Amino acid sequence: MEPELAVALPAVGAACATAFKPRPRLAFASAAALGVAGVVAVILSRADLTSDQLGIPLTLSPASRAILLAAAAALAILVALPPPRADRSNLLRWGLGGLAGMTAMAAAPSLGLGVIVLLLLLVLQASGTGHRVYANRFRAPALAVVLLALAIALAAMQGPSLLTRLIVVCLVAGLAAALGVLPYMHEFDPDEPTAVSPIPWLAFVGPVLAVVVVGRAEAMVEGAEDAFGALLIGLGLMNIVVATLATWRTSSDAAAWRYSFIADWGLALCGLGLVVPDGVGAALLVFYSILLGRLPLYLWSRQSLREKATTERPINFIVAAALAGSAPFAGFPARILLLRAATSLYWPLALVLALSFLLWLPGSLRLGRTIGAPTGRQLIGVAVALALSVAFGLFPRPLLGLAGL
Amino acid sequence: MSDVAAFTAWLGAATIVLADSRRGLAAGLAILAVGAAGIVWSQGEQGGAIVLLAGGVLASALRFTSGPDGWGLMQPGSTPRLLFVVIVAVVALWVALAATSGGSAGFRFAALTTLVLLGGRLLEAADPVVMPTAVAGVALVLGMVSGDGIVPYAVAALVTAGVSAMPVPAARRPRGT
Amino acid sequence: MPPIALLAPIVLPVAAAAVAAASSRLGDQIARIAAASGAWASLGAVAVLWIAVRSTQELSVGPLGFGVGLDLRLDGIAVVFGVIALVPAALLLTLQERGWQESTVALLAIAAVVLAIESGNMILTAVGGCTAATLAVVQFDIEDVRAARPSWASVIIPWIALAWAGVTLQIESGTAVYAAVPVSALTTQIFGLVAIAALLGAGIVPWRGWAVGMWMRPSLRVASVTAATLLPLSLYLLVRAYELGNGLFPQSWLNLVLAAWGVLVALGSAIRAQAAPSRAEYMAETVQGLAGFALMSIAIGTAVGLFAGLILLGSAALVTAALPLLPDRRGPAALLVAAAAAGIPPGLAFGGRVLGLADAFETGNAFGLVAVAGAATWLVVAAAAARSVGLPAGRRRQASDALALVAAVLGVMVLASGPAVAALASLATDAIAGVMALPIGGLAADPFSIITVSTRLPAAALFGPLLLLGAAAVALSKPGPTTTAAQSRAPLFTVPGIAVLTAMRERLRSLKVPQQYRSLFDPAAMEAVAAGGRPVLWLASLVALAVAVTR
Repeated sequence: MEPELAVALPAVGAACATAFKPRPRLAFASAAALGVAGVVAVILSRADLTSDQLGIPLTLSPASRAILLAAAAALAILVALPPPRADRSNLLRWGLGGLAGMTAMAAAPSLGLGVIVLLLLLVLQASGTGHRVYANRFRAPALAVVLLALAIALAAMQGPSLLTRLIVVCLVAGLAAALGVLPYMHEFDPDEPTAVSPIPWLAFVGPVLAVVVVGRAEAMVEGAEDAFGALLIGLGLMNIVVATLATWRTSSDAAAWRYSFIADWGLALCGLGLVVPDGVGAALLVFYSILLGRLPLYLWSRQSLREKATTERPINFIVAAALAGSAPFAGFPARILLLRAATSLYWPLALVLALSFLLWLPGSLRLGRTIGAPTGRQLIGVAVALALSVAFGLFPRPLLGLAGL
Repeated sequence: MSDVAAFTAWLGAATIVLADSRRGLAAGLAILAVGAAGIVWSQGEQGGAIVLLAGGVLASALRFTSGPDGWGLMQPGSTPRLLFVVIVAVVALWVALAATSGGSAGFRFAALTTLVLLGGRLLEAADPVVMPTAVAGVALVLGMVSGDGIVPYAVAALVTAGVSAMPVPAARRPRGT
Repeated sequence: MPPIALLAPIVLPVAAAAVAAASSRLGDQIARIAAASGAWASLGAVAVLWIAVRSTQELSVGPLGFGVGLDLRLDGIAVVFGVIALVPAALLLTLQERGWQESTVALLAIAAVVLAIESGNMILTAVGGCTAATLAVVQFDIEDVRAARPSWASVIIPWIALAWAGVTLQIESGTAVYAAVPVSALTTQIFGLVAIAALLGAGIVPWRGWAVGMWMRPSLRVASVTAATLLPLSLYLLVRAYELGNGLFPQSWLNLVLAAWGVLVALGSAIRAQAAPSRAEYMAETVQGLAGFALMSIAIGTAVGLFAGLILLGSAALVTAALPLLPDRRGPAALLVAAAAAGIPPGLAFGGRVLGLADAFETGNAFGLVAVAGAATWLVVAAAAARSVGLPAGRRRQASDALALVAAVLGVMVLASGPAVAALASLATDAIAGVMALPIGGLAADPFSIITVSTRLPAAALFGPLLLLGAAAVALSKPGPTTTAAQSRAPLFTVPGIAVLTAMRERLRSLKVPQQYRSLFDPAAMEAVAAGGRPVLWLASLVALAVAVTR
């Protein structure tokens, strides 16, 4: 019953937060309680246990479960230490809605059902009040849904090997379009509320979606695994190079943050494309660092981004180091795992990756400055994010163990 | 039966591509639902077909209640869309009949043609009413291609109806073609 | 001594950093005390751990999750390098005034350096080194964000290279643990990565790199701590490479290349030093010069060469501690430190250089040429030191008389400890024996002489009288107030082609895309296309992906 509850409880929590909007305390209390119960259900969902209470078998894979827990932790941190001007109930509403959708995607027995849930998430997000034109908010994730649906449809047919390769293209392009990485970047408005911006696709829903799509793809791309991996690595490298340079050079600080998420996704895509356990481990560590590091830091930097206030204090430099993936922060073991995976397969790729790691540095210095001079809850939040990053950077084993690696 | 259903599904998707107002879009969604349900029925999933049809019809009814008035079918400037509908049908027919096997040819044709048409519509449209209609159509097709047992069909049907029930903002700018 | 105690030298500075950070509201003085205590405690812990057992101690806590375990190993060579890094760092944290933030970060950097040195495997060393390098950059920015500092990339590259070497070792031999890697696993390629890490980790390059540039900052607090810790840590990697190769590098020409590189570094430094327009710029070159000679000696590949390198590193450590304590004004302190660094007999730097050059001559073949170049370089260093006495200060920095006195004492220590070089050799014998074979009869037969390949060098007998003569000369001299004004001096010589090279470098740096071609690559326009959410681009990408995968 746990997977069903893991989906239902946060969903009901999000619904309560919406329904009780006029009574903020009640909305917050009910949503928080249901959210906590949902997380407990995720924790209790064992990977080797399939639940069939609703007529379909629901299972959470270890990797999905680990990412879900990280996403829940990120949400908890943000709700406990909300960014300036952020409403906790609103954060919970969006966060629990996303969490319910992510859990449903992860637990779904087929990619088709997962994509239907993705479609629902897309519509729910687009229904929020954003600054972008409605159609533009819709377009890229909708394209992702169509491409993934095409992959599923093609996988149901038999045909020449070309067909499998087309499935590969649809899966990878669909994933890229859903995430909003290059070349399928979503339109971005720096002033838009984060919940309805492209950021949740990159930093909240994306990791679970990637784990689900790549996990399900194994059976769909039989015979074209090399092409699948190569395409992921190619897209990953393109995202690393372009997005790290854009993080450094783009004119808007908020856009720089968006590019930095994309650059991290480049690493993750390379890791997923390398298919060996080290590569997958690297991707998972990147996901953790996105969820528990970059996302909260981005949200806490929003106020100073609005005020265009940049500072050069010690905290800014340490944040920059964390964002750059330097030791002892969580990005460094991810890079080591990636280097090992690449070296074991094809060492020139490791050389390219090693050189690309340097591209994070200038952009990260810029991002570090945009965090401003945090005080109060924001300062505690930044300290918590940095401490978590150091802990995972020096001892990532529990995280990888949680994901079954 | 699957061949007729496949043609119906294409017709529904084509109507969504060619329509710009609520009546045309609702009709397209309803026709698509009939086609998708027909395909599912022909695969022996009668329960799933009924659920999918119900979801599609409900979505169609909901679409009928909102959006610009009229049918808006093949308005001036829609020639490229018409060509798109025809070319996609021809190519999908070739792929379904000559290049692929497995399942019925009708299923293959319906899945390919509807997804490509609706995908094209999503990329091209700017109207806030068209987008959810096309997405609802995609949900129907997703139910059709991935259904296995009554629950996935029910989920697809619910999402189809739910998407159409979501409020959409008023159009901010003239419709593009 | 329980193995868990090996964590003490790392944990103690971290704990002190926590105290320094927690005491931020009480003023910087508490943080400074914590910083000094943390550094000295770490040094004390290393000493106690070694003295208590006097043999290698190991601790394996378990896997960390990225393919390496928390393997700590304190052997003789780790103790030597730990002491070389920690003594100046502790001195500097004790004597220099710094804010609580700087103290905290400096302590964490020290802990990272100790972790890298104590690490039992190469990847953990890379983690420690990268942490130390990152924290050095953070310290520089805390100290003075406007002043020139090493670029972050330049200090990170070596540790990424070392991490890559470590993972390659793991793939090829199944482990990156220093004590377990098979000798055959250290290939030329892997060694190349280690050498890159060693050379770039401390900026040991013939041109004026960040290791020299950082000494030109208005404040030398961070530069000194960085040099004190990163220089020994980087050269430590080459010593560990000897251990991996059972006392040898994978190819003998690698020894020659690295030794020649070391001389080039020292020569480059000496050339710049003899042309320095101010004493500050001259002093900036002293540590680099010593590092070049240390590299040359270590790269020779013999126990005597390694010992000479360690002696030179020890000298560099004391000079590094003395440099930031020197006042601007001319005086005995500056003179003593300059003399110590230049290798005036019978100093420690003198002993190290003599041993290194003698060992290179004894090794023969092309190493003889390296030794000749090294000897010539030494002459230039001595001339540059003499010229530096009358140079203008070049910086407006105040230092108290007490600090100047400490700097002078450090200079005297370097100058006076030359006769003890054989005693130091007997102490370091066990450490060196851990990484390479000793000559027959050991390194030092007794605390007074050193055994080389062809002879026995009676260090105490040779250097002792020199020390006495020097002491007598100082005692008989009558120091008086400076009568001559500092003045600009022409370089002793100019190297032909340097001006052309400099001009070419400047021209390369100033190259820009001509105005009429700039529209060809417009990043803003490209960004607008990529981030605009344009379906045409998406469709084109889809087609491109399909073509790429199906061709």
